[in-house]
Amino acid sequence: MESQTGQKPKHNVKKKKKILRSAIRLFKTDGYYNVSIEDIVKASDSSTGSFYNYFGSKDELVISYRRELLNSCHIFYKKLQKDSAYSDKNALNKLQLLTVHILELLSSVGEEFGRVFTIHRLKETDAVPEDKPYLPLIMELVKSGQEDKSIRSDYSTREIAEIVDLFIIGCHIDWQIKRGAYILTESKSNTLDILFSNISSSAEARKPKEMYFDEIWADAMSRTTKDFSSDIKLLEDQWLERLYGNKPY
Amino acid sequence: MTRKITKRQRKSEENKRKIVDCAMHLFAKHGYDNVSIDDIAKLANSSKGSFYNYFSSKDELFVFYRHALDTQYMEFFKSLLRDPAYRIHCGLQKFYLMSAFILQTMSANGDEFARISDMRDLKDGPDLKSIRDDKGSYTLLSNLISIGKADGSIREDLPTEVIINNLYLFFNGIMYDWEVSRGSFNITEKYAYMLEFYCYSIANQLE
Repeated sequence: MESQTGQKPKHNVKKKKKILRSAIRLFKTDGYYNVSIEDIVKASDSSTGSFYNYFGSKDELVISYRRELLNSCHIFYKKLQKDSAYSDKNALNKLQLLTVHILELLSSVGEEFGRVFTIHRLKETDAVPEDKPYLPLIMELVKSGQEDKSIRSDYSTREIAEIVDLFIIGCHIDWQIKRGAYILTESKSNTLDILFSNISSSAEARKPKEMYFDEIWADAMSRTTKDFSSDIKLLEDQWLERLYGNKPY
Repeated sequence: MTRKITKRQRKSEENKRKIVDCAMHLFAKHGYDNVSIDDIAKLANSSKGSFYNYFSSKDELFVFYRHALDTQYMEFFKSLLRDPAYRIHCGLQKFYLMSAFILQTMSANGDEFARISDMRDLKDGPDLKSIRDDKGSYTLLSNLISIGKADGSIREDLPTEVIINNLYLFFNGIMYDWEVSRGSFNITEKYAYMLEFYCYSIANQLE
């Protein structure tokens, strides 16, 4: 345990990256579930000890790699803001480019990688750390889009950012469920165009007739539906009674 | 249309229903993995043998239940068309109500159920198409879109298929977000604005 107290080797970042890269390469060629930690150690020219020094498990490696991967969207964001190639784009265009970039990053590691990550998040009850390093960037772009009037302002900055975020997640999960049967960014480009035309300020201008959605929903809920929970409560009471007799429990 | 159901058949259906309800109740309360077939049989006041009469495994029961959701969608759909209370609503409003109902029903059984369901769809191996087949809700939604396009409340330039598939993408994202948060918020409350946003975006323009 002494090694944990401070003096880690200097190039541990390099070493960690090497393990990560080799593991991802193996996952892609052989499939996540067919690759053992031993295989990863061999391919990366390291040791089991150092693998566990950086990652507790294969799952953790996936999480760690995903974070690194998504963090790289900061680089793209900087380019969007500074590079003269994008200087004629408004914030809405930039937001769409960033969204495509995120989808590209997510698809670059393959659908199985995505599934392993999603399953881990659904299964483990550990606190969820920062999964969305791209979210602040989306918020920034929405905000400047509402300022330069390319993005609608009848929804709050957070609401629009959330719409884009959940859309990205939804696309990614659909792609995972279909086991990568289509090319993520290509087949969703039409869908993206629709989404972005709807968050543009011109969508706000062509505001349709008021539909009173929340009121009709509240109204509909006031008249539906059978609730099974009371029946089950009754059964449960009967069951407890059989187990414990009539004694209060 | 007088299909005769014998008393025995009805009894058997009721029994099956009871087993499924009790199982779902226990899954939600104790977690899928911690509930045994014994527990389910006991709560349903039934026997293990009778459980195996209907299902070969917990997993099969689970799949059956997912299909049973389609029945609930259908019930709501019917009332949208028939119930006089909904007669004044246009196609788009009905589409909104149906979508919100689907979202609420998917979440009504607790986040545990939803998580098991999603993990099942994503686990190692090929796409389990037969189970994830969204046909049930798909047909109903596409019917409502046709009504909306006919009464002029829904845009005609968007293909029906695109409208539904994009809605499902949002559903995926919303459900995931909710599941990861361990069901810590009410979906239809938190994401009502998102559904609204979506429905307005497929609405016909006001002249």
